[in-house]
Amino acid sequence: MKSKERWGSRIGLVLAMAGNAVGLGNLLRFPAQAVQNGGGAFIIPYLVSFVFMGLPLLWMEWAIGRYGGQFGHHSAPGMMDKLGKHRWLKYTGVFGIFTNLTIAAYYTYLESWTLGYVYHSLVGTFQGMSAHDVKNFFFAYVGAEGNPLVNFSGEAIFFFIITVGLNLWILSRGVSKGIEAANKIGMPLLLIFGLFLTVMAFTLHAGKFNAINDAIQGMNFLWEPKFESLTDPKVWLAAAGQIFFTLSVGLGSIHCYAAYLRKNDDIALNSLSAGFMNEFVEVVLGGSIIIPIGVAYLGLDEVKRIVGLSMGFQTMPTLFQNWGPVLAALGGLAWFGLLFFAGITSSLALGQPVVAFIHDEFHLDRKHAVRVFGILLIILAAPTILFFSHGAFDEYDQWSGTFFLVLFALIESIAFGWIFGIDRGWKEIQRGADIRIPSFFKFVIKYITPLFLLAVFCGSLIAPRDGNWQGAFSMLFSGHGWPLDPNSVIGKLFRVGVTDTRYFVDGVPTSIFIVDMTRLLLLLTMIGIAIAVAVAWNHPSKKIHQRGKQ
Amino acid sequence: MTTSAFIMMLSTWILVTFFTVYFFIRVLRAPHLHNPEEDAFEDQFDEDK
Repeated sequence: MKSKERWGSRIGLVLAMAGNAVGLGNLLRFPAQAVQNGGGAFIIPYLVSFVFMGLPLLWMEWAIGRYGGQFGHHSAPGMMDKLGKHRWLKYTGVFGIFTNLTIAAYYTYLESWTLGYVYHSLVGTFQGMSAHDVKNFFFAYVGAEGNPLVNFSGEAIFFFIITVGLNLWILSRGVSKGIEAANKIGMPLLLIFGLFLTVMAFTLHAGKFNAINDAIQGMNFLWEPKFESLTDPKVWLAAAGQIFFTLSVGLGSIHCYAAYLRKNDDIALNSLSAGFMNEFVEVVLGGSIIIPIGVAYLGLDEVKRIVGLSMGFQTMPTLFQNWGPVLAALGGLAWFGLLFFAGITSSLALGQPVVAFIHDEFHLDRKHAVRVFGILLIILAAPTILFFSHGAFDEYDQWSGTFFLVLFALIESIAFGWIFGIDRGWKEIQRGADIRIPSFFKFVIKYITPLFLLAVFCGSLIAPRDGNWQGAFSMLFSGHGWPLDPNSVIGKLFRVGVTDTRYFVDGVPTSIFIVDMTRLLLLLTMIGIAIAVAVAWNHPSKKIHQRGKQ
Repeated sequence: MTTSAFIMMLSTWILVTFFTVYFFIRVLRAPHLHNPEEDAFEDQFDEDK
């Protein structure tokens, strides 16, 4: 079933691509990375990574997507297959379905928290609560209070079902009437909420709304450059990692959206516009909300300790209570509304490639394809909801949301520059372009970007303890081995630093058991998708094409 | 706010905001994506196949 869907307008496409990139990480991960990696100096490796890795990857993915779309493929297996004559290429696209499906599973759950918190902010649940109460509220909300084996929370499941339903409804309306329309509403609202909170943060000073510090101290904390940090490989790897995750590259979702373009539609300028829109939300808005407001109430040391995802949900509602009932409700609505729109515009982009894969390769109509996606999503989300406090959620994030993204991006950058060929690739990027990309990027795409990605990939594989690369190399060369960090890929895989690896204690499953079962589920999911690709390509219509490849 | 922090913040904001606005305006002024004539041609081409 060849899809003839197209984007309704150029603005809609750019907003959808920007919405895909803008996610919760822009508002929660970027400030945390900046304060932990050199403050203002972090922006130097960050922008270098943006130019040498981020932009080339954007152009590559838009080009692969638009090229694959011409052959009726709107998901990674078909697109990767078209990049060369090797029959195995289509299997590299399995990552582009696997990551979307499994990230959508836990990301939609995370997104549903924001919806739940919007509701609680508006009805005044957090009024009169102490910081401790708000923190406990979060654990109660996800059913993790007292750390039971199964985290069952009716409320969390209720908001999750609403969020999944909303995502599926939008996806079932199609690219133009669904995804594009949602982004045309979501992105402007996201900007309005972000600007409101930025203004509130900048006008906050000691004594106003019970603040103990000037919020500007938080900006100083974030932007004060520690140039000595630039000699630390950890800072460069963190910056490259942040650029990678903020642009939503290595997923297959950019490819999918670009596949709904025509052969001669511009990709060079559109991708630049969407990419910079994401940077604006991250650097200007993301850096101006959580840190200054946090520092105004909690001080520098406390913010440095808690900054990140937990601060967004467990601390911010308490801080808004200092603004009085009306502004607290507005602050909560703006903050969690901002996170919700950042989330849903990304989760739609995660869902669409899976829906497109089922629709294109298994010839199901859109509505049935969306239903199949919904069933898979709920099945895969169940462990992240029910075993949230036992590490299932983190395992999804570690493997799907971190490791395989980088691996897929590395593979696609080699496939594009070396198998498809940089000359053809460069022509593909330039075709129909409304802006001239300097030819210097041809060299960057072929050599520099894959090397950047290789560095990020290896950095995640063998990250040393506490990110201390200098110390690790000293140890290695003095014959004391390599101090692997427990959170490195190899460290996770071989349970570095874990002493008790029992599956059951007194007949009750341990977190180790749940983590291993989660890994098994993810592995089976990947194998299942690979089988689905094999079955789809075994269809008589595709066999004719495969013979043509031999 | 210290001078170095202020300079880092302001220069980054100006750079990012300038390029965001510049590229967005260029998108607004560039031709639209849709070409109904091309649509009709492609549909006809598909049917012929």
